Amino acid sequence: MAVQSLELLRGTLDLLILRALSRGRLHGFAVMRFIEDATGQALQIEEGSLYPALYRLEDRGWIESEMGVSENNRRARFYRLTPVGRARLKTEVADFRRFVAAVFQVIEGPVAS
Amino acid sequence: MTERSRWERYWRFLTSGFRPDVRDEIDFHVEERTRVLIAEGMPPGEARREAERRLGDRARLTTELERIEEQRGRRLGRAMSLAELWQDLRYGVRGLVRRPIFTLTAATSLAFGIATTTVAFSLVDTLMLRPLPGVKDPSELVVIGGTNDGGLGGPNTPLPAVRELAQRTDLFSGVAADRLNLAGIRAPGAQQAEGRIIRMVTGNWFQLLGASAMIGRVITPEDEAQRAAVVVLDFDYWRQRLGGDPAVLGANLMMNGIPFTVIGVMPRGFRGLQPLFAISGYLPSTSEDLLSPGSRSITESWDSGYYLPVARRQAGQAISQVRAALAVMSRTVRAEHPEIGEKFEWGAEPEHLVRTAYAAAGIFPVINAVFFGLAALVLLTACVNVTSLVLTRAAGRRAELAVRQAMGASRTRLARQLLTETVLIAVVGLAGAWGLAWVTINALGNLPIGFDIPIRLELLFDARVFGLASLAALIAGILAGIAPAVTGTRDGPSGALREGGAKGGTGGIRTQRFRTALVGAQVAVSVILLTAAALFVRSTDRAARLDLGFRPERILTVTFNPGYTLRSDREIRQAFDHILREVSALPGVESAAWATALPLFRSTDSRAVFVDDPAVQTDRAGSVVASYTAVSPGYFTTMSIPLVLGRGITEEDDSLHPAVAVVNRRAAEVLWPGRNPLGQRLRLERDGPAVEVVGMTDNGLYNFILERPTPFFYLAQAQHPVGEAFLAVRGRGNPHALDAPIRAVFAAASPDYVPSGFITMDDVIHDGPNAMLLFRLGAASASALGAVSLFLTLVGLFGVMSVGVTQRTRELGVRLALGATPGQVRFGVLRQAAMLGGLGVAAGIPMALLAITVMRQLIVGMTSKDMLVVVVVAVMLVVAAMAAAYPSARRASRLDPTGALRSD
Repeated sequence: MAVQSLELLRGTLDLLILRALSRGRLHGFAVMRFIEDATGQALQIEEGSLYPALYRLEDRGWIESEMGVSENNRRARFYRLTPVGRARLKTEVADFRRFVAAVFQVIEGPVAS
Repeated sequence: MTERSRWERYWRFLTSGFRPDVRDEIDFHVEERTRVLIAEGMPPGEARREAERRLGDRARLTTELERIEEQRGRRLGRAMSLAELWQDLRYGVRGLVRRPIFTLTAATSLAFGIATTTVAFSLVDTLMLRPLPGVKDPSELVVIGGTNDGGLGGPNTPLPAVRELAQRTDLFSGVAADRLNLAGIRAPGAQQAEGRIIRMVTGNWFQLLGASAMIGRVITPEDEAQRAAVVVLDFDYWRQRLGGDPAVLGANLMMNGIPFTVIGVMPRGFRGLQPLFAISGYLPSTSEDLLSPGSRSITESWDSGYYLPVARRQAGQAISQVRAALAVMSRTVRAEHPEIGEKFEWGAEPEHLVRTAYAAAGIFPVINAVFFGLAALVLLTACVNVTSLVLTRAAGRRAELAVRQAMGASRTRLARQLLTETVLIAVVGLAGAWGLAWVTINALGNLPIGFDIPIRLELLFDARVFGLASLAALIAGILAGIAPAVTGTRDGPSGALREGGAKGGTGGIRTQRFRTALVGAQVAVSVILLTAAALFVRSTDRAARLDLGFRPERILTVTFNPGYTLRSDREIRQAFDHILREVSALPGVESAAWATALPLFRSTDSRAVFVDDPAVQTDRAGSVVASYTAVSPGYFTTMSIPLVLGRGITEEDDSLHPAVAVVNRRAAEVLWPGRNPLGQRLRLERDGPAVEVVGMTDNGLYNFILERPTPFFYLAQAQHPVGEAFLAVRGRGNPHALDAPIRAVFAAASPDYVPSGFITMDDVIHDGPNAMLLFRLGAASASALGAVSLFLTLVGLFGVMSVGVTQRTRELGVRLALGATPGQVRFGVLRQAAMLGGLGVAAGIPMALLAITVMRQLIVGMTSKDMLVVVVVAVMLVVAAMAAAYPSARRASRLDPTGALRSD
């Protein structure tokens, strides 16, 4: 599959980040890798927009961070979901599903001739 | 975010900042990406470049992230402070609740202080500071007082002169005038008319003040031009007498028997420029001639000056310029219209200085400042008391404070906590002060004032006053807490190891010394306040013993104006005669007489008096200005005014006989120096008929209790046209027992007669604003302040001495064990108290002397002996200090030596 770099809405990026962190504690780069890997490299996020998104999610209290040490002994910031964030993930997923279903209805619905 | 990590985050934020973290994060990202790319086969150099490229503008990203972190840090900081404050509050409240006696004592102290300051502020505010309700831009208004003999000035301007003033549009954008008057008002449906005070205003008065009616309309220049018989009602009068019924608009009120149409009602709280007088309504100036048709028209004549003009300054005209211009105008007016008085002079004052009386303008700010200053001193004393209490209590918490400091609490943090506690105490004190102030203010509002014009001292208890009370409480709380906060945290974590041990006991030598110094300061403050009080009391006493020139006992006064309903001079004279006969015949009446002016009871009329002798010292026009009254026969007997020469006014001095006058000694000195006044002649108008002097009295007091000797003369009422007059009735017993019989006499004579007043001469002297009222008020308030301060000081003294004895238990034990008698120990403590008192007094005396010089203007007849008052107060305080220390002294003398030696 060709690598496509897609413009993602900020809200969608937040959803992907939350999902990434739902499995545990990750540093910023790992979050990026998760998204890339999980989509088979089909989604490549603009790297410059990942970190601001992470910081803003932290401001909202959905994730929290602390400095730590990576697998190869380097200093990095690690993120994880807060209880509030975990709950938000569920609602965001549900909202997104509804959104996609609605769009599909428009696309695949009867077309006026 | 967990509590711990939030703290850590904030800690890091405060200490090293957030920049290293952001940078590390980005660096890490780039390195990981490089590593991944290398693992996928890219050469290292290229991998690194690709990693950087993918990240984008690294510098901009870093900056953006740092900015987000910084904002977050600041928000966190604010939240932290709030959280800490909340913690302080909870902690403080718990601590205070656990020690109810301490809290209540401290709060009560502050309550007194705050209440005193609040009441003082409320007074000063109402009388001088508060903007007048319903008046626009009062700072532009000046009140123009007229004076006829270089005196203090007041409502002395004739209406035509007001019109002259109005022509000076360069000075004033508008000039209006008003005056108080008495009328018999009968409401629709009422049986009897009532004598009520009304205000006569020029047509543009309301306009000038920018005041509008609540319902209906106000008086306009058209009303004045048409000489309309209309009236605008005062809100309180409308509510009380007319039931607050809006249908009263358009209805008629009978004023002196003439129907006046009600055209409007003023809003609540509107009182024109003089908030103290409770008037019933406003009438156009031209209706004066309708109300009292006498031979002299007040609206047109230049020699009846009763109005007080108020003007709105043009922008750019300072008061000094106005005054200068007025001085020039006065000269012109005197030249063009000499009837106004040869010494007539205009002056101007800003409206806020003359709300009580024009004459008070100079002294008013001083009175207010002194009063407020004294009240603030009381607040200071209260704060000192609380500081002392808190210090004592803080000593017992030294262990707790030391431990907290050891655990990392900063000194600022702890100090803030202690301050929070005292502010909390102040808040409790504020609640108490609220109650105290409310009671006091209501009591003051109901003061009896010996004046026949009803005075309404409405001290408002509203947002401004509450705001000041809260501010005072806050300041007090902080002031009281500063010293304990500083000293309590000074020792640091090792403080618990210092003298006194972990429990702190009474708090160390340094603290005790500080407390002692505080009490010394309180004593000093008490010296000042008690000296002020003593001086005021002495002043009042001297004022009360001034020779009035007459005997006021058992005299009842009645105000009456037959001109309300009678029109001709002859009818009026007959009415006076009839009433006098009937009243004199009442059982219980010793004697009675009419007078157009009674001493110290409103100001007397004054007029120019002409003498023929060119050698007499007169002004350029050949006249002397003197006050006078026209009296009926028997006046001198009734008032017990002795005649030094000749005779008084008798029955023979009527319209068929030559005109006569009785003068006082001062008038005789001025008009005929060195000669016998009897037989001399004076004229009341330049070319008028001569009046012969038939008697002379000694000098008395006529207008104001502090006036200089002033020329005065008495005319015969039967020989001069008269409108309003006062009936003076000396009774055999209680003068008020004559109220009902006298009213009956008036009612029997005619149901339209409206006698009013019914005030005894004693009340006039005692409570009247021209006599003793201000002195008594000053003495009472200064005494109250002094008493509160003394009380607080003695409490503080007791506390300090008590603690001192506890601290010195061991030492005293040693003394007793070594053979000192209990008496000697007791004496030692008392001597210490005396020395403390003495030091405080020594500190206070210079300030008290300073206060005396400031207050000099307010004290009657101050002599150098008054300085001795300070000495008396000083001695008294030292004795009081010893008395307050006595319980502690006794306790010291009763110590068991062995027990004392064992104590720490």
